[in-house]
Amino acid sequence: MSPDPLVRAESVVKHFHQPRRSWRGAPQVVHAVDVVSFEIRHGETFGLVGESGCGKTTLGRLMLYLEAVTAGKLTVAGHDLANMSQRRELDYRRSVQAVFQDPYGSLNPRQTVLDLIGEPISVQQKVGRAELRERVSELLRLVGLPAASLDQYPHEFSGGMRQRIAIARAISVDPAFIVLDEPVSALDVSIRAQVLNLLKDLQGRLNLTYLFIAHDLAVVEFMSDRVAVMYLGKMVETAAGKDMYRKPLHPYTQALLRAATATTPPRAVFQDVSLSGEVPSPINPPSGCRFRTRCPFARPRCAGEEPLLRDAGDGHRAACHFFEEIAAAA
Amino acid sequence: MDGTTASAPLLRVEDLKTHLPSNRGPVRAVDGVSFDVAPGEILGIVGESGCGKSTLCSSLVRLLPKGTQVSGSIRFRGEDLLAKSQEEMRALRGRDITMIQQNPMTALDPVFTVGSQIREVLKFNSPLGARERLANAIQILRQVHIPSPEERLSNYPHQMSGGMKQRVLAGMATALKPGLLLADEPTTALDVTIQEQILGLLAEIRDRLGTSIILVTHDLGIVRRLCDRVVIMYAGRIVESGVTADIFAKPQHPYTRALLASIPKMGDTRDRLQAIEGTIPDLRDLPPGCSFTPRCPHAHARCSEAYPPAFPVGSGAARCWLHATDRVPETAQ
Repeated sequence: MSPDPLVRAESVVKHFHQPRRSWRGAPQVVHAVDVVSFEIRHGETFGLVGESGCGKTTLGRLMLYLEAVTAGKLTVAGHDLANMSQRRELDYRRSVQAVFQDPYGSLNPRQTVLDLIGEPISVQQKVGRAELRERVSELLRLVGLPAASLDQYPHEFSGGMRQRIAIARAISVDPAFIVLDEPVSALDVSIRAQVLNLLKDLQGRLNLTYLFIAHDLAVVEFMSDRVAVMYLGKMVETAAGKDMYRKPLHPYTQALLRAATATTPPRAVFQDVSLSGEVPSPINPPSGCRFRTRCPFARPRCAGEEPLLRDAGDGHRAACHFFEEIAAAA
Repeated sequence: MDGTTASAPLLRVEDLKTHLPSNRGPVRAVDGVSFDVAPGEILGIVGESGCGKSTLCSSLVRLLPKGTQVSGSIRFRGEDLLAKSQEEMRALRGRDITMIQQNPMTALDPVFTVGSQIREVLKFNSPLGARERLANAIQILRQVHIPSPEERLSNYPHQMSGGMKQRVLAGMATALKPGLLLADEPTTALDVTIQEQILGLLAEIRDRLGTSIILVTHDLGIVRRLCDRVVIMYAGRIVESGVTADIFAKPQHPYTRALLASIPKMGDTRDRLQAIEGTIPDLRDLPPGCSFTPRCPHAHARCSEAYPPAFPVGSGAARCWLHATDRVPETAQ
């Protein structure tokens, strides 16, 4: 393992500006990602969990260079995303790829499988038609699709097979890093396992690093080496997967785990946190700790002072003023 | 079976077949389904997309496209729903049998306030006067735990979050204390912590009103949390049924077993998941015999010859030849 992490985010901020409601009104700012720092190491799977609107997808899009960071420093595979020249962008696109949630929307219905998977290759290098066919067939074999699919169109495939096409396209240019944004949520239960297994196999074989974004905690646990939980633009907890699931520190993580421990009997090692209310608006987030409006343990200090990620040992960090106390009371 | 016991089923479905029309011949969306729902029971119907679970739901309230062929019997409080006229069915829907849809964003009319939509339900189904309807609407919102209900009445749907809209819909669906509530994927469009709240609300509705609930879902976790009994559907048929705890502890049908094994569980230390190979068959062109045969690890010659009957096992039944007591399979009691 090389000492330098593949991804390093230092106080990354992404704000979206919305048009003002009236000529006198102040312009509205959506705080999608608000001062987030983390690292992703070579060869690991970094899981990102949270509810809709927490900023996990925005963070993924920042790493894909589909959005520009508002402030902070984001380095991915040796490229500084805050100022990247166009010439270097092509190289960046080769080393970073994506698989999106909806395999119906992410594949052009008018392209054949050969064109879909072959296009990134021909953008990157000069390849003859015959060689392209050969390389795409090889990729199809790698993701477990029949070679005969080469000249078929996306509508001829089921959701699971389409996602395999999307995966083949992502690995076609031999990337180092793949952003997987909810890659199995649109798939049926019996198909999910096939795709998750495939992703794991490919990671081992091709030495890939994954950012795995999902809302399903069990799927994230299965896939990830380290996990981060986001809430309303903030990273509230990060740890090695097994630590996070065995001993969640942040009350929000505890509530998420409680809501999700349904298919297995809950392992009651943490407090039984059940949440009332809903996620506040990212346009006008609560002061101090953003979770305090729904937190059963909230105190006056939570409103006044924003908790920072604090280390609880073994790289397990949580952004809560009182996590020791909450853990002791459990 | 003794049919005269005190706990007669609220709903009894027998050999229900719903064949939807299509250009390439009938789609056998529901193909010989039988089950009971007891009063106050929450029954889960589980299956993957295309297994016929939503069509089954629509069949119960007879909201089906033109040209659909329905046979079998659906008895609700002893009356055959398939023999009723459309007028009689309309009187039943929204009053005795109600429904919560998957997507709360589209189930409410965007151009009317939430209050007027609730009052409309009351107007057509109860003898209350205008003032009582208003008071009742506030009461309904309060019962589904919507904060400051008086103010919320004048909100339009777009001013509410998804979870809040689903609460309003649950309130409307239970306003007239129905006997049966059909909830078709009620939490699929919602976030996990909101999902938790809505599931709690459904359990509360059952406890408070004694309403039976049919919960249609693809999520086994929800079933485990909420349902008393479960039926598992595959390709238009019920492959296994039983008490929830038993199904999870000792699944009897290979499909149920494979489904449970394919889901990652918390605290799971496996490095690979057991995937179910292959895909769901085309409902227009089902294989002969058991439709799970092409994907089943236990398939043998008999499976592709005839569809197995429901063999009783444990608290429920499984339609799989593995449970045939080979000597007298048909007449096993």
